[in-house]
Amino acid sequence: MLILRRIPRWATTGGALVAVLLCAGLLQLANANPAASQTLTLTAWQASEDPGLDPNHELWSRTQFVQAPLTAQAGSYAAGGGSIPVVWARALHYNNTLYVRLEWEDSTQDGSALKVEQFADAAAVEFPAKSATSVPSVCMGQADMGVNIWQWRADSLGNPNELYANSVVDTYPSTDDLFYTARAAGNPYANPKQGPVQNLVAVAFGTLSPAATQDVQGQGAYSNGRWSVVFSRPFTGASEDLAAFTAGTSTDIAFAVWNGSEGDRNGRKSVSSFLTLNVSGAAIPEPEGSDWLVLALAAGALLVIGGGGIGLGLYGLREGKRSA
Amino acid sequence: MAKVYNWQLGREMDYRFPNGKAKRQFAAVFNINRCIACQTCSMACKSTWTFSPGQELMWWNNVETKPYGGYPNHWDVNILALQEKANPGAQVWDAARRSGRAAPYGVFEGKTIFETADQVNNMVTGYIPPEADWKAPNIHEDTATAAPAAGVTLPEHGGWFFYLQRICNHCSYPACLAACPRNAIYKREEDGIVLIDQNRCRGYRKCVEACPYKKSMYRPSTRTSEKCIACYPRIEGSDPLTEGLPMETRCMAACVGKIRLQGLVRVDDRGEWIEDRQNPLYYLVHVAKVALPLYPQFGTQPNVYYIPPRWVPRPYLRQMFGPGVDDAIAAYTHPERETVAVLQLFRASQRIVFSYKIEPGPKTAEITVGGQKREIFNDTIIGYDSNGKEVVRVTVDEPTAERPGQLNSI
Amino acid sequence: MVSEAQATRPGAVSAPLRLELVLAGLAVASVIELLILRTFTRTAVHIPALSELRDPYEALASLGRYAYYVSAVLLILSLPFAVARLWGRGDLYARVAAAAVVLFALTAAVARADAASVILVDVLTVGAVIMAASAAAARMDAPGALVLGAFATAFALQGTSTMLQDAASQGYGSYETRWMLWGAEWLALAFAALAPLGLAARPSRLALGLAAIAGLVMFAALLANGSTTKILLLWNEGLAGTLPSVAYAVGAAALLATALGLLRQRRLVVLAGFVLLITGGIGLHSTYQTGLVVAGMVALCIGAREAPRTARGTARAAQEPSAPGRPLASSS
Repeated sequence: MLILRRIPRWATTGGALVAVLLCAGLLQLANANPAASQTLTLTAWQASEDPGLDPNHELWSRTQFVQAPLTAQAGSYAAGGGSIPVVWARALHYNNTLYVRLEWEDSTQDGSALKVEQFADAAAVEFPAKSATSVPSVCMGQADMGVNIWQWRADSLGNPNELYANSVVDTYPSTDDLFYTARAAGNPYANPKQGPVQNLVAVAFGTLSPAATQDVQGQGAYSNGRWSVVFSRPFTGASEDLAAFTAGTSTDIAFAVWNGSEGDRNGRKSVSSFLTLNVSGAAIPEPEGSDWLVLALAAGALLVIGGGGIGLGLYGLREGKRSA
Repeated sequence: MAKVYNWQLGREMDYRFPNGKAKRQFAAVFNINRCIACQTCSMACKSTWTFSPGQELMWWNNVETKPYGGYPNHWDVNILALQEKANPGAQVWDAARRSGRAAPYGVFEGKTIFETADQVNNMVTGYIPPEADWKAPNIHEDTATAAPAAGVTLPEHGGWFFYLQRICNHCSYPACLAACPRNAIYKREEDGIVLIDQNRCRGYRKCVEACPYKKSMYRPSTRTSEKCIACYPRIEGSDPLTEGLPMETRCMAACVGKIRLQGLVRVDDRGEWIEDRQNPLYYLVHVAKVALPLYPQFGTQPNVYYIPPRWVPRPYLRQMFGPGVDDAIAAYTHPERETVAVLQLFRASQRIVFSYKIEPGPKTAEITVGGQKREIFNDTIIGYDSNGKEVVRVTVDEPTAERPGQLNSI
Repeated sequence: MVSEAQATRPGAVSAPLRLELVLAGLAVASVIELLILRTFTRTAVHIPALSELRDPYEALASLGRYAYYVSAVLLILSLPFAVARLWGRGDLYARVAAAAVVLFALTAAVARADAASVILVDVLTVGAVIMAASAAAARMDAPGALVLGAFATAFALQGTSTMLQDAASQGYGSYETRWMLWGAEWLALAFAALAPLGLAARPSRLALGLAAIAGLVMFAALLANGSTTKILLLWNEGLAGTLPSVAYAVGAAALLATALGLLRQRRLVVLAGFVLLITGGIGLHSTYQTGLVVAGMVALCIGAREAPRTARGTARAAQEPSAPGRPLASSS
């Protein structure tokens, strides 16, 4: 204290400021973040049997969901969307294969894109590439850290003449792959053998490309104004630019939903930010019996909030009158 | 957003990307006055490129009857309406501010399709024509605006229609390219041809939405979009017939009415044409100024130029081809001696003519057009290929031969 | 009224860093961090020519990250200072606030070490915010308490929603929580719109004009480019952007008017607290952002009795040479 008092005030304040700035610099250099993330977590439980690709498999009804809020896609060109406000996400794994099930409300089932003005409903999950050292930009990744995207589309390759029951075509001179130009060019969208889910990689806007291996499977179902879609892929990613999973560890996961009748495609979509995906070694917990704790916590929290807010207001009012 | 120079508008404009490095630009002149709408071009294109499943509604080349026809229906009216709505009453030209090759038609003071877009949700103002609009490619064929009992006379017919021949304009500032969020569309350096990478396309139809000429088309059987490829193998000289030299596209080469002349012009870093006096396209567009771009006000700097039909009311033509219409029609009605010769090059050779030379010939006729006297000279025009080798030689007077009487079957 | 006893104590006067200074520095650093790291670097990827501007972008991005670290260090530094100061005041509400800070600090440390259930961390951080808000609100008059109550309730609703979802991911049952987010959105906007009244900020005409412009800019941004603005709102403030655009425009205008009004009245500690609430945002994002909210509540608690000054008073204050060690937040 004695020493401090002899040093001029500006010097001590300045010194402290320098210390703060130095400390910050050291933390930045060390990449040591003193804060902890408090974002949502989606847990992939260990399933007791193979859930398969059926979105209505009984296992899913016993699996806890997380509601991820979605918003319109951000400022990148071809922005827009946002008609789907929330997606219910569930995850399981069985025999070293990850299953993710998304469910969302969409009053229009857009399962065809045979006409130029039609766009199909679609959904996607996004993971950081195996090679990513931290969380990449949720918007298509970044140059040094890529993302792996699995996209499911409600439509399948079709013959446009299917639209017209009485349509007649004399002949098509040749129907080799060569004459389906995109198919000949190796575009998976044009490949009739491609399933409804595409495995894609990206490192920035405009770089989304099909992955070398197309090993993601999936299936969608529509009923009562709701789509449910299951994505599935073995834990091991075939290459460094793909996602990889290990039981007992966490990675990140983000969601996107396209509403075809709103003209959603490309960047025009509803997107979430990254959630934590915890690939748990535990089995699906039975919700019965443990719910009381959550309910009590929630009720308690809400009581504190509501009661506290009103109480404080009243108290402040009284205090204000007294001092007046 | 970059600033690029659009000489057809006589001003700088906003475009998503800075100027590319195209050295040569695919370009063509179509003489509307000569077209008989036989659709040979349409069939030549169709039977070469778009005869497979999913391409049923796809006509990379089409010929439509104006003012009512359109493929897709009302494409131009729809874009004009969108633009007018975005910038009401201000889509106007200042034709007085003409200056050389940098602003040959004056200055467009309105907004381009890039400038009326918000650049976030859309790069380009446009719309997707629904499927029904693509299903009647030759609707309103030969439908005139009226059938005056007294007949029609020049300079403007009381009842009129004309044929508009359309392919992809391989624009200098392509709207399709600017609109593609995936960078799947590119413009080639060597010839300015605009192509959709069929491997990268994911069928978002942003190009279909953006192209004001509606020459990007969706193919449901591959879930991608396709467009006119300017018969690039022919332009590259891959056809054995020309022994490696650039060759005109199928639609040009098949033209029965000899209305089309196509070539490659040299362009500078700003997208302006480099002076090339003896290139027939350069001559028609920049010297004689008889050929004009289609809807230049959209701002894409299209590269197919039209000699406007002489009989059509001027306000309609000015909307379609800009303020250069009156001069172009005058230059076509009373052509220079050189123009008459250059017009002979149309459809004279399958090989692309890069330059020409005229050998003067004797005066063979004197005629009167619109009260003005005109002399006809039987000049000879010689066209040269990219190596300066002669590929064609034609005279103004078509050579005639009288058949001996006994060979006549009649 | 509670007197600022420490202000006259020699030890406190010569302390190298006063809490007010730390909080003000934290507010400034967090605003820079919000603008550069959370806003610019998240939208700059959309600049088409970014590849050509790589170096300036990298430089600015690392500056933003640096601002974050400065902000984080100041936040950590402010916590013990706040506890010492608040506890020393001996007043019940200040002690509640001190307890809230201790609770938050412990929870954040536990969360960083990953040493406790995420549900517990959620509940305790929300609890700390409510405690700190209660203390601050109780030292304010009725309008101020209501405004802080709206913020705290919005925060708690969002936090509870996150907590319930986290509970589901821990194996407890899943519950619909959309109504909580909806309620939080309304309350957060109520906080923004009523802030000028609640905090008795008296913005100048110029400030009102600027605020109106800010509101119009917000409105235009939502209309012209709603998706970007909305995702920034979500990322930065925890707002989903589901209500009519005009509500957000009014909110933005009111926030700026309040800040400028507080600045004009020289109520700098309240201003710092108010700014920290905005940079912290609604709901659980990270312990850093929650910490900003707690620090903001502490600042409001300290500054609550900062006397609003009239324009004349401000002019006089401006003429006086500012004495070293003059308490920033003294009302006595």
